Amino acid sequence: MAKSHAGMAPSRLTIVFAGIMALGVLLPLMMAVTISLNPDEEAIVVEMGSWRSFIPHVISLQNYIDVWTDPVNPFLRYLFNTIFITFTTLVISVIFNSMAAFVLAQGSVAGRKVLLGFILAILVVPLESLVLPQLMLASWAGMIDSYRVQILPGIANAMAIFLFYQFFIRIPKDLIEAARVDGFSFFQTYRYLALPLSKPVISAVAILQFLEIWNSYLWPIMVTRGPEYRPLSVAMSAYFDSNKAYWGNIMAFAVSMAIPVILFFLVLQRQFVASVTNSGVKG
Amino acid sequence: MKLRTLFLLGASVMAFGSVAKAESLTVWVIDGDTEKPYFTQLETRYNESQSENTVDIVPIPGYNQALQAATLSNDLPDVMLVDGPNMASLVWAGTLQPLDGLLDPEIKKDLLPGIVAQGTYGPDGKFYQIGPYESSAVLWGNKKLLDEAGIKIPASVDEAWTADQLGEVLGKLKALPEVEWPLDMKLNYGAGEWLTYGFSPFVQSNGGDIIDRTTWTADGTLNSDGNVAVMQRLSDWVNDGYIVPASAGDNKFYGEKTAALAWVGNWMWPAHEQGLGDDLVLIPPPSLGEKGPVSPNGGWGWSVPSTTTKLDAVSSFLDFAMSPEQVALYADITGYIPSRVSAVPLSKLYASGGEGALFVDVANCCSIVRPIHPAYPVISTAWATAADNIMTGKADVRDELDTAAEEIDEDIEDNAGYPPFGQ
Amino acid sequence: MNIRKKSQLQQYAMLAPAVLALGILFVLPFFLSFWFSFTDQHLVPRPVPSRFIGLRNYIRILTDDDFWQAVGNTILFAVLVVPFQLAISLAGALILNSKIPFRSAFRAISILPLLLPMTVVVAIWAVIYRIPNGPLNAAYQLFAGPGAYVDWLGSSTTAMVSIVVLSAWATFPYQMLIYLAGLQDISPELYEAARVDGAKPWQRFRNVTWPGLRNVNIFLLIITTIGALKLFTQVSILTRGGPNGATTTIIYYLYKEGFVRQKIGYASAVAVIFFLAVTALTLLQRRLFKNESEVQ
Repeated sequence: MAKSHAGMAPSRLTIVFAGIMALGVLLPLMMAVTISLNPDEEAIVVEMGSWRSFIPHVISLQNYIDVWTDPVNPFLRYLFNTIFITFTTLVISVIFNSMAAFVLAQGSVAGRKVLLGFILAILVVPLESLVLPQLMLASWAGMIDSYRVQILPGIANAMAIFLFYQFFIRIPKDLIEAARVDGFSFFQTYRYLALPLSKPVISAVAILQFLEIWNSYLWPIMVTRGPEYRPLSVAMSAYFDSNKAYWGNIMAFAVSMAIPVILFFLVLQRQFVASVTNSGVKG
Repeated sequence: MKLRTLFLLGASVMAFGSVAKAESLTVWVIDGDTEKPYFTQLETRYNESQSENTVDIVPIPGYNQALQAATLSNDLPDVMLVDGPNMASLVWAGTLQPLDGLLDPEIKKDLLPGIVAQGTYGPDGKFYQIGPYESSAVLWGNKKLLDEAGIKIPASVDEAWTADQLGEVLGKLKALPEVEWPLDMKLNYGAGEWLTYGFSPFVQSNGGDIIDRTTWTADGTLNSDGNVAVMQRLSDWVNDGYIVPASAGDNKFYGEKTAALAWVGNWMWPAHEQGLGDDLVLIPPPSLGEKGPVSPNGGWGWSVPSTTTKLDAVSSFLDFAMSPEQVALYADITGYIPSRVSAVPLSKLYASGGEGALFVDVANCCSIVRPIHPAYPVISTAWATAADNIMTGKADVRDELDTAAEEIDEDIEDNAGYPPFGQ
Repeated sequence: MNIRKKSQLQQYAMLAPAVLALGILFVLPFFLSFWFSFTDQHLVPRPVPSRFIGLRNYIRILTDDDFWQAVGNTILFAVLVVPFQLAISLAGALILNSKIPFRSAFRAISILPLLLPMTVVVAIWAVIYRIPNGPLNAAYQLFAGPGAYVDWLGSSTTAMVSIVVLSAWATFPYQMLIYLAGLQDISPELYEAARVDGAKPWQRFRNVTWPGLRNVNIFLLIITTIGALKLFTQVSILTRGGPNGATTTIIYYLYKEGFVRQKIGYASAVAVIFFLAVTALTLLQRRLFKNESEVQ
């Protein structure tokens, strides 16, 4: 796609609006960072709302140390859980969904059309409406409070299959045919031709699912009971359950939780933007 | 022959081994800042007190959710804290085992009556939950403001204010320039257990209740004319501007001192003491009808899941945690009342003549335990929702109570009356 | 074995994991939902066996005021958040599509909220809305005088609007990026032609940009609406559905009945109703826009 910056020369007003947008995003974030660096809980509460809660004027890592070393709410354990669940889900999801999509796009077995239609139908089902029977199944299977129960729901993803399908269907038939003539089996064609070609889709699927898992909340609160398997998102919300609303600690936890994602984003910014845009192409 | 001796020796070593086998127990407790120092010392001292067992006390954030997930995964700890009124529902579902064989019988004899009542499950009369502390609620007063309004403070339970007297008191206090809303009833706690704990005593004081405790039906009891009258009066007080609204925060009584009275439990002791100092005065719960003053009671206590098998170790831990020293310590650290009679004199606050003696008096004379029934979670939610709506001052009291009664009876019917209850 | 057969076997084997997983994770629960909705299934096993109870769950749901309040709240949320969020997303996209200085820095900054997990966003906004002296109330006091404050999350008139604002803040970059791609797809010649015709900026927007975004608009309208109907995390943590039920959404109601109160049967019936409503809405939206999107 040609990069067509249809943009007009910015008026002064546009620049003002850009500034407002940036401030609207940055001020809450600066507030979070400022509060997280202030070890004095009383001062935090008193200063809340003044400029002093937006611009760091005390710099102490005390809250971070508290959060990272709290034995009851072990931050590092939660971080490990989250990363482990995310990584495992992504790897399995990419393999399972791309394999299936390749068959749907380039295979010859009967019923592909029906199956594809079926997967598109799953795309419109609001998955939240399925959590209770999923919970019953998990409970019958004895999987409550484990990594498995948090990894499973992400391994087959209709959206991922659809994105891979869209890509694989556009691979020229000649190319597939050539691979076959060279003696590649169907699986080898997938493994050594299609999959390596699909790197942009892999990153799109990975990024979209990554966001989904980092944001998931309803499922993990139902299926985890304590620090052993709990992800960061649920641990964060537990701060609101207890009476100890120490804003300094809450914000230190929040910032610690946000930083890995932001770093990840800075590295993969281009792919990130592309993947969000890709998910929307079918308009 | 030799072989046989060896075998016997081996067997006896194994038998001996099993008697002295060191067990390690996992114990779940609530994750509260007030309680944390207590549990930390409990873990250390128990582990030092003997060499056989070790205990690992784990504070659990989001306790009720965790408990539910653990029940589903069959992964409950060896001992856990259970909130008093939820005990029946857990016993009914088969989650808990009786404590009768596990506890030193002397301990049970020494408990305050309210704690025995709270832990006893009706259908089998067995004991499933033992609280290290007792709780209660009274009216807390700001003596300076009360004196200024020329109000005589009742000295004992017999002199408790009647509904009309309390109305008059509130009117006088409202007239003071420093007072914004005279009575803080902790509406800021929200539509949760507090509204059952703290507000069911008002209807009970008028001879009512939130459910009939023999037939286990709510209709006709929860929504009785007497209950409607009491709740209507509270609602009117809200509209008269007598009650601190929910959104006004926690500190109108002890911080800003714009409220002259507070209706809340003894956990507020440290905050009230610090905020009011010598102006703090304790007043018996109001007597809103035929039954006289009524106070709530109970709280969290130790229970043993039915899946637990390390019973010897559990028994030794429970006896330790319920020793008079530990019970007194719990009270001193958290501000609650010791649950053992023999521990009361050990406590600075609650010993006879101590500042908190009224709490012990009230707990002894006037406490009514919350209904011990498997439907309690539903009963409490339904009542609390109604009370929360009523305390906005804008709800139709009878409608709200009718809805609550219907919801409770529907649930009980859905569960076939929760057999063996209602049979 | 001939090659064709081998290839077919391989294809089945490659389909199997995803298809099996989809079946167990989504299809089976889907049918279980229907089944449970006619029973009084409980979450934690209880001494009274679950039984078939016909339409009782449905009758009770449809006569429960709290359910209708949740439906109303969910619709209210969607009606408020969809236009608001799409408007700020489009505005953001227009800004980023113009040749402002530090364009890529502005883009990077404006994407940040999307990267924050919702629980983190909620924590930050809990401070912003804090009474009596959070930043928003501090701003309010500039107008209303010292000491005045609004209980943004605690009053039934402002709670839902507060949730709308924080939700839009949290997820607008997603729509913004899609709008941005849509804007970049509009041919520059059209703008050139409009400029030659002497169109003012507003007219250019009205006659070139807006029509050019038609498909993007339809797509975003559908996914933003569906997303809005699933509102849960924010209200679950910040308001617990209160005050007085003012922020109880359908999913929160479902969670409360099914998980907290453990009434799986009842909550499954809620899920079935929700599913049917969302499917109907999606089909309706597709139908409404189908003819239009085929025009291009």
